[in-house]
Amino acid sequence: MLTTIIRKEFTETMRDGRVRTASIALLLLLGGSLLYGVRQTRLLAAERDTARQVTRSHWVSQKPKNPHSAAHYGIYAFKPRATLATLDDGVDPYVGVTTWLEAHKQNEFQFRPAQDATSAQRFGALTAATTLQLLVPLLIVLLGFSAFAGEREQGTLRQVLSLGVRPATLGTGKALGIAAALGVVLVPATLFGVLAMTGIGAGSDFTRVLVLLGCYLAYYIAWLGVTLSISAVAKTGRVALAGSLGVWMLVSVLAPRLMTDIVRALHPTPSAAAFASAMKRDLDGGVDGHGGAAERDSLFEAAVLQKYGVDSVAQLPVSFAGLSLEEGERHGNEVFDKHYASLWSTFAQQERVREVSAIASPVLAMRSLSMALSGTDVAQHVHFQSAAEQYRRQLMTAMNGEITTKAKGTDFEYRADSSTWAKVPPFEYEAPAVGWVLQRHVPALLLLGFWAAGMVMVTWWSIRRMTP
Amino acid sequence: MVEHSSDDAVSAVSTQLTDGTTAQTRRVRSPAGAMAAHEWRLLRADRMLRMVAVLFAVLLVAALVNGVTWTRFQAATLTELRAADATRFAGYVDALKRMAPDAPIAGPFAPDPRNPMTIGSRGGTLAALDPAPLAALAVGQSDLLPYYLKVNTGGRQGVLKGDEIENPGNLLTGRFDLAFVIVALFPLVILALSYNMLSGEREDGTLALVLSQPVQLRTLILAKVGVRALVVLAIAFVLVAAGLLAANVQLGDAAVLSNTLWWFVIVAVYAAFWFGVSLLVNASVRGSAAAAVASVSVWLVLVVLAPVLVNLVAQTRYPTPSRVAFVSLARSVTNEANAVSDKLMSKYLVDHPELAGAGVDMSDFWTRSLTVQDTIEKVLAPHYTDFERQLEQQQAVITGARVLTPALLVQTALEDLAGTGLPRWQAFRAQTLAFHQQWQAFFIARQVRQQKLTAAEVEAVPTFVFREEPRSLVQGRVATCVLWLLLPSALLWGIGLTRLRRYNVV
Repeated sequence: MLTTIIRKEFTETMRDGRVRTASIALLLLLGGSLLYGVRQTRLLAAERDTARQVTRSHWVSQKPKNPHSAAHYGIYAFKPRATLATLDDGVDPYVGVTTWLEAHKQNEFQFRPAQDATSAQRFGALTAATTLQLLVPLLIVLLGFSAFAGEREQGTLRQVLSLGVRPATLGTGKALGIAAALGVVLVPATLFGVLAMTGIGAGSDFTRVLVLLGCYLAYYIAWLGVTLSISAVAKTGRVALAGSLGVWMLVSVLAPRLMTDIVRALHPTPSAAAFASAMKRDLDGGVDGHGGAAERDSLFEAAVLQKYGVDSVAQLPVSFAGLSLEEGERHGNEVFDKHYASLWSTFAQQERVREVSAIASPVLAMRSLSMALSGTDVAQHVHFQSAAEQYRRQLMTAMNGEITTKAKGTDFEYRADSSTWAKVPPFEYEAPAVGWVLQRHVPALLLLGFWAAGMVMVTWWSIRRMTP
Repeated sequence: MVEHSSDDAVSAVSTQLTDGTTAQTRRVRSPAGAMAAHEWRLLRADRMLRMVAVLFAVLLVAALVNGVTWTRFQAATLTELRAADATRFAGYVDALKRMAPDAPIAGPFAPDPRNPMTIGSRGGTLAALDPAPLAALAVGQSDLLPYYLKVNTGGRQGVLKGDEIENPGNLLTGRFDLAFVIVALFPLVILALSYNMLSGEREDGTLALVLSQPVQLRTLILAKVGVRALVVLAIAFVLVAAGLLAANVQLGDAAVLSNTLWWFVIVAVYAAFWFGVSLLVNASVRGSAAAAVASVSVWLVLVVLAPVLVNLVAQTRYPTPSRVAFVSLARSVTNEANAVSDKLMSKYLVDHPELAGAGVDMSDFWTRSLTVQDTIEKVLAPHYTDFERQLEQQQAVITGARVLTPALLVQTALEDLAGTGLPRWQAFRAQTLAFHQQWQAFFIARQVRQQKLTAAEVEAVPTFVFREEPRSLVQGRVATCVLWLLLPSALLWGIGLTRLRRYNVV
């Protein structure tokens, strides 16, 4: 019986001209966005590889100079393109591509790609993710809205149920039939996607892809559930359709935008001007806002003299300039840590609210997980920013250490040669493991699971209580 | 979305019956007017429609509040920055007045205001783009593009950076602003109210009944569209006007008022376009469910897909040069210029004979670095233009694809009226860069000649004042958008009304 229902449902939906058109359009969009994503990834990865080599060669080919001049010359850190960004750009167009790692300062990232585009950019990007998250649910609605409501309207539902078919069997059969019709689009798209991704070396991201597939499966189950339960209670096909489309609009079009202003209101970020001046206040004074630079300097000098057991800076066995620069970095780092930690935690809180609100919209959970697994969410951008900053600090410590140990007496006249520059290891960024990523998206994972399981239950319940 | 419950349908029939008689007895009233009065009663009786209208009104208000909040945040930030700048300059003047003008300067980096680079390079000044009077109507690009820049004697790259802090997750999603409500949600409200104007009545069996009265189908549908248009436009116009008044926008100002009127015009024409879509759907698609699918598909293609595809074409056809490659290039150029800075010094003086002569100190740190910077800027200049040209080409593609993308057309027009779009920002950037040159000229000349600044000179330091684009230019662009929107609207209405002739009522 079950197979008969599945076959009937599948055949019927595939006969619908609108479904055929929509499926073909979706396949084209998915294929197109994948190809475009692959092209972008190739382009951006190559461009950033080159830039990394150039910035390295700039660094190592410096002429002999004081290590502190080299520290001021600094190194650029370029944000690598994650391979899975092919599927979902995420926040990448809205974060800077590079930052300058120099002495004394933690610089902001510069050049957000979206700033080099027109306002059309703000309508969204054509990625596999957009198609999978926004358009496939519409296809599900189209495939499933009339499952029960349509039959009820035509009077066939009463006939079928009178044959002794259990509602549960009917529901399962219809769900599987629709899933099969959906598979006509999604299976080839997935195969094509996997093929394309292997071509650009996403093999190492296997776990991420697997989890992502699992998430989409749960997401579509939730959508199928929404469509079928609305169809089970709606009097006519058109009511079911209007209901499902209404839900789609509320959760996919309205909810994400509304959340932007809600998260901003709940966890406001400071203006760049206020952020900078608060940081300057702490840099000039102490982190706690007390004690000026002069006071700190004299305290530090006294501490150094005591440590080396000498009476004056001139008697020190090491360069005081190097120590004092390092002390300056230490103080700066403390200030940067305080302010950036607070800013980044505000971002994280905003993202957390957005995720928790997925209780009202599965789209928000899926969006968040898709970006996370593609390596293009806010958390992973901050991860890169912190890694770049850690590298800057190592670089500064290396340069200051060079002065401390080798520039005794000559301080700023000391010249280090290119062997010193080559000793600094290049900046190699390691993207976080999938566990690290998922830990930061527990609410989204739970809520997506909740949506899938919850909708299966709601569907089950509404089909069992269905009136013909 | 929209559905008459069976009770509603019964009451609808009875309303129409009674009203039909009144329309006949009171012949003075035009049939269209009678139909419209009819429709109004029907609409009022429909619970779903009331919900859609209320939701629309609530969303409009929320969007306005968001717009006003953001505008005020920007204004407050600029007030603080200006106050800080004013205090700093007052401090310079004060110090200069108390200083002995001939006392020696402690070196090139001394924070001595007589040293031109103290103000010119390290101090700098502010170039601000105040939110335009109607900024609350569209956040546009104002969350992404800087609304103030710091100008100093340094290179151009330094001037153009200065982003406001924003969670990139928010930038990606975009704000819930009035432009979003109008561009994306307003069409949905229109379609929800009107997708089944005919099919709904036909399915309820009331269409034939109504048309048995001496009323033409065309009159009926025009009355239906008219009433719906009045309702949605009244909600939008009244709430927006009230919102602007509540936010203290100076509507008495002629420029502000005319921009507000243009806002009404573009929204009305956009409504006309979507009612045109709806009319065509009503005339061509028989079932309500099919009409809903058709309406949503049109919305999906025109509001979601078309802008994205046009953007894709624009960016693939005219990709902006790589910023990443540019950073590397700028650094190579800087290295080369630094390596030959001695040669550059003499070359610089050949290029600037007015600066040569008395007082020029070739060993001065600033003179040296300024000549190097001059060379770097010259080499990089064509690359700067590359970025701008490609962006202009992208804009041209989007302008070219106008008829295909009414959503994009309206978005740009709304941003234009709110002063949060690309054109006003580009004007700001151009004016800032011109001001940057003025600033450089003022301070560099004095530095190279080793002149000390006086209090009077500091008071006469150039300041940045943004000159708005001429109103006619902005409104001209908006008027073009209106025209490009009227064209497809007229076409939709024409085809829709023609197809209506062949509409099978039963």
